[in-house]
Amino acid sequence: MITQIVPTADTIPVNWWWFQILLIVTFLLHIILMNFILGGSLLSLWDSFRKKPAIEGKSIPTLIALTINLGVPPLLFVQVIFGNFFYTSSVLMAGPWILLIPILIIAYYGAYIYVFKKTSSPLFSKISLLISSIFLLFIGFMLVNNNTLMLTPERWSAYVDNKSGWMLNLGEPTLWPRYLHFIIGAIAIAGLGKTLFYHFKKDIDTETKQHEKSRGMKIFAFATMIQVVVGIWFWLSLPEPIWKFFMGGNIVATIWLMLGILLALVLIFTASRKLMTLTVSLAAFLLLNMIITREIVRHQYLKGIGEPSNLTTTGEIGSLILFLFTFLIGIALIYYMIKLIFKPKNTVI
Amino acid sequence: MNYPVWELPSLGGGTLIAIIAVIHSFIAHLAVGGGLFLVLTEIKARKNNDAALLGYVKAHTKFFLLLTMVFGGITGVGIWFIISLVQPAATSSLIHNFVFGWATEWVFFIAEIVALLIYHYRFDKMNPKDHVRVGWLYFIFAWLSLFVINGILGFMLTPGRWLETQSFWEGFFNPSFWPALIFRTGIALSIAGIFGLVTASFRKDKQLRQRLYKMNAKWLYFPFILIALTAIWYLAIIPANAEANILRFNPAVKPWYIVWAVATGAIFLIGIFFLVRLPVMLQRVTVFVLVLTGLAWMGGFEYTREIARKPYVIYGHMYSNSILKSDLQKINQEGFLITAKWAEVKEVTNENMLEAGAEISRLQCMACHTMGGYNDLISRTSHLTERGMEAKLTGLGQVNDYMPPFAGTEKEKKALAAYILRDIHGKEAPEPYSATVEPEPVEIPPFDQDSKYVLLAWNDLGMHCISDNSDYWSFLPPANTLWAQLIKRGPKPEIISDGVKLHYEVEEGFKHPEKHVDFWKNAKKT
Repeated sequence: MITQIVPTADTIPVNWWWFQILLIVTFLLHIILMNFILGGSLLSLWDSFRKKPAIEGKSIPTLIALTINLGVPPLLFVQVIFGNFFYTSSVLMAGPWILLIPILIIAYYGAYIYVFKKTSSPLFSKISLLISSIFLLFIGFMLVNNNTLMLTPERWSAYVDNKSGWMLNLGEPTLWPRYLHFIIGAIAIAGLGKTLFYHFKKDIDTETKQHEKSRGMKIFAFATMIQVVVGIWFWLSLPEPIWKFFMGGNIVATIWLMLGILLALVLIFTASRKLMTLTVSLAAFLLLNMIITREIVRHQYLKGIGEPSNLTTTGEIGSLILFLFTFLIGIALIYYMIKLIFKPKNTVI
Repeated sequence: MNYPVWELPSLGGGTLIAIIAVIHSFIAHLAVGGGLFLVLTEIKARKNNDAALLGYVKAHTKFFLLLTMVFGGITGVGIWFIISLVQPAATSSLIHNFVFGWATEWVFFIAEIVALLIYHYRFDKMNPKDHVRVGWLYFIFAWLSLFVINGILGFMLTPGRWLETQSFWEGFFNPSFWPALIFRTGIALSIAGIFGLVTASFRKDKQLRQRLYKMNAKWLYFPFILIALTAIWYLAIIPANAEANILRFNPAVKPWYIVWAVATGAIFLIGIFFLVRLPVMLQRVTVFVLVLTGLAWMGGFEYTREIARKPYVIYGHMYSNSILKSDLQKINQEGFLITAKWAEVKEVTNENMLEAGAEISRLQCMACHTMGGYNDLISRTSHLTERGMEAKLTGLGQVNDYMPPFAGTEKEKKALAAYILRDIHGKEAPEPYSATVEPEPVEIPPFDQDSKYVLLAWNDLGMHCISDNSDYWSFLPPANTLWAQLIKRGPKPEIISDGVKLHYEVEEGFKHPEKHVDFWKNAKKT
């Protein structure tokens, strides 16, 4: 019955693994930046009510630009291997989905106002930050809705009574733990971002530097503690066959998830001991671990109704080569431009 | 028909696409042309040691960043969002065919953003040579992203040999690729001039302002030569059908064509304002009008291009309502509803006729039409009878080829016509027509076994020239031709055509058919 309404998938040019790997890598980069802006906005908001100056907040607008940019490739690759599911769920919740665009524009401009008006009009600045934060949270909520709705075609039949595109996935048991898992994670990683920001900040006194760095670490450690609990709640809210898959059902998946949980516990320890380099490296690996876990969950959900390995491949490799070639040149030129900033004569002027 | 339809009866998904796309297209062209504008103006300012001009470039950069990166960038994602909601099948097709084209586009996009951020935030904090270098890189990346998107946009209008080969490269470097690329580059440079005027009008120094107006007016005017020349090339390359659509047949295109033409003239005229000295407030108002005119121009162009593509969303491949051209025959045989995955009604019966019609309307018509909004279905069908509606549906794709053909069986077509007439217009179902033929008692003379001859007689037109609306429809003057044949009976029957004379007589009351119809009232006697 379900398979009858799942749209037929289009063909892909090369083996689906290409897209899966590109999806994981680019989503990792996107999620790190997203954590900085969402968690960073919430932390800046918290600070602004405690009347504490938080200079790291001024980098939010630039980070938003990069977050949106890095959101493009994972959105593209997910449409390549799961497009028939993703487009359908998007249409079902088309109203809020298209609202994300104006809301993102407002949140983005709000972040600029927060930075530009910080001294000249502090209240306006704070209100802007508040609105931006609420809007970013709204965007996250809709992304979680869509990403769960695409995995549950059995709910799609509700379309019969709701064709105007306002169908959210509110009955989904994983919705809230999943959403919370993203928010808490964002706060944790933003704490780590704060530490890094002050670590590399040059024109600042040592005392503030140390204080803020250590605060960032504390935020990370504390948020990670909550995150472990929320994570386990999320895990157990998954449909039985899927959570069991990670509890002995599949030995590799089980070890993989256990590794993640273990890493989180280790990270609480390293962060409380203020071991910055180790914490940052392990946290990056933990994020990768979680993103891969997320992909495994997705494949389990769609098992039998939409496995990317069943997609027809045309084998047209030329465009892949074009992309890889452009990608290398692009990376090289971005590296070149960033190096230009740090050229001695460019930092002095 | 793979996907569910987002129901937006009064607004229409097409309208939403148009709003987002036109705004984005305007800003995105600015993002390209403005890049060259920034770097060339910076070079000029640095060469002449012109601090005032350099100050202008810096201020313009901030404005440019806030407009193109935030608004331009997000509305670009916005187009992607809205097309995937309104045209999921077409979007899926574009994404899957050109995935690495899009990925390449993204590389240019991120490099573009990094370059612009550095250009803006390090404006006075880098040595000029390096700064200009970053400016050039920005422009190159921005133009390359136009290069990529232009290939995919052009593909939708002129897929060329892709239709046979499905090859990425043939789709990308399609017949309209080069003219469209140069055409759009011209637009980009011209729009750079428009927005150059915007920031110029807010400079306080009067002399500088006047200097900037002159400079920007050149940016506005000179690219127009390029635009005009490539427009001719562009038009020569698009499919003949599409060209006929633009220039003649599709009534929907006319207002946009006019908007486009009027806006072109208006941009020229308004531009002249900046060459004469006027009060600063008046200039600011004028520049505002100019921006709106530019937006209208963009809207006119993009809309004309969209309409030129009708009845397809990917020319020659997929119709505007997501039906593949190659599937049409199969759908006509097997039925539309049964092949549409998201149709709730799968078969037309006498009981569910209107419901089935509504379903067909939602899945086939609503991709372009609205109920009371743009491309209004209601006003376009209000003059029709149910039979007329059916005839119109039959004519789609043939009589008017800017609409896709109706896809489905005869029964489904009738259901759709019934839904439109009865449900939307509240008209009565047509009385089932059953003619009761009362047999006229005719006395047939008994066959004379002994007769040597048989005479057969008939006329060649019968009643079929008579209709109840002969005021409008009449192909022949009232007249009739009588034929007869005489056969000689025998073991070897023989047609007799010589040496006999046949007489006939018309009964009273039938002698003057022209008196019974209005033919000669309507047609001039010649």
